[in-house]
Amino acid sequence: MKTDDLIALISVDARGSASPMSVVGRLVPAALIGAFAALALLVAWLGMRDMTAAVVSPSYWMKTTYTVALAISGLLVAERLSRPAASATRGIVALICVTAVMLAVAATQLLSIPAVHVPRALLGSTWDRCPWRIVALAIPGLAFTLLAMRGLAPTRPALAGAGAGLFVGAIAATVYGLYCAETSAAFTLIWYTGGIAVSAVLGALAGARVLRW
Amino acid sequence: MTVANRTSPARSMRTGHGALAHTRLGSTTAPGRSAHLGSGLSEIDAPLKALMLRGLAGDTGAYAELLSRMSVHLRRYFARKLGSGDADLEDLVQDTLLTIHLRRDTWDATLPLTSWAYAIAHYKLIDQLRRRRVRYTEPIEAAESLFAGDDGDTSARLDIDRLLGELPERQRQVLSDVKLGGFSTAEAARKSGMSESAVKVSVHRSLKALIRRVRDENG
Repeated sequence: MKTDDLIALISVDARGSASPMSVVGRLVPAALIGAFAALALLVAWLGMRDMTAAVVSPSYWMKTTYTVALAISGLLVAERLSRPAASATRGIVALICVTAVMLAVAATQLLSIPAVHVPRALLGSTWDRCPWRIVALAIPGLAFTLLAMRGLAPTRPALAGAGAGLFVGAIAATVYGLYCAETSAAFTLIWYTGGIAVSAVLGALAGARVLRW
Repeated sequence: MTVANRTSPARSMRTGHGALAHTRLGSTTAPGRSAHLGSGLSEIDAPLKALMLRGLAGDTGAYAELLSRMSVHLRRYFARKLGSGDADLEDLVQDTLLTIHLRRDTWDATLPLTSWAYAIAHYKLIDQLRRRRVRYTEPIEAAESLFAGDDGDTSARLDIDRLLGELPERQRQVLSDVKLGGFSTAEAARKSGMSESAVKVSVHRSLKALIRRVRDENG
């Protein structure tokens, strides 16, 4: 076929959108399906903590605010990296800011408690399970989100996959907060962030393989 | 990387090449280090962007004009990268045009259209080169394969006409009506007894089927 004929064909199919929401509109539903899957998994596997106590506890809201802020930053990164030639700088700056604020909160908290309690604040009682559980909860969302991303145009697949992993990892961490009763900011900073980071690495590895279009 | 993608077209335009042709400056290095954005970028980008926006609003004439201008830039870009006699050149142009069309929702209207299109063309080029490397490392066969009249490489070549032939009859009919003799969708619709929107849906499906086949052939 001649290229001119192809152009004539394609032009019949004109119409579309250049809306800034067109990409978010595909990534968010996929991640939400993943979030519901994670919630179902959590309830079946670990159960939920006593939520009436949780909603009045500042530590619950501290953790949730942190993971939701990371999820929003992750979405900014994943959204930009799903578009050719778009810059993810803004999302990355947001990530750094969110982490820096959490670092300040954790440091303040550690400095205000007696030294003997510091190891407990750092490790809690679930440090060795927390990150892996977050990763497990992130996997369904990662699958759905990468699938949605395949329909977009990520020109840097590994990086885009990492963005997707970060986004769904932070959502999974938010869901995990419905079970986890750890209260310290340092614990959250280290182990929650660790689980999210592993999810981002998984996303990068998977992205490099499946994000071909 | 992002900055490079955005600035490369600008650099080439200042040196008088097309929007997608950054070759001379960037062919051996990663596509450009940071460069000063010339005013040339907006000079080339603005009219293309205007055509794209009209196309997205449903103006088929403007959209065809955009794709046609884009194809000139793409051909020049791929020719510089692969050599003008390269067997895959026109396939690459067509594949990129189809991709630009089917992924048009990923263009953010606040960003330059040229850098977006360039990033897609670059991705397609790299993808093509990667496939070739795979092809070249296939096991060496007996000497006669070199002298065989019709070797696998020509048949592996993308042939959109043949792919079209594999589409369901009705889709193919609509496609050739629209393609030949400048039938409008309304005329093609009358001829096939479908509604105009059904014709458009049919064309859209066919284009999607085409790009899937392109991928299967090459992948």
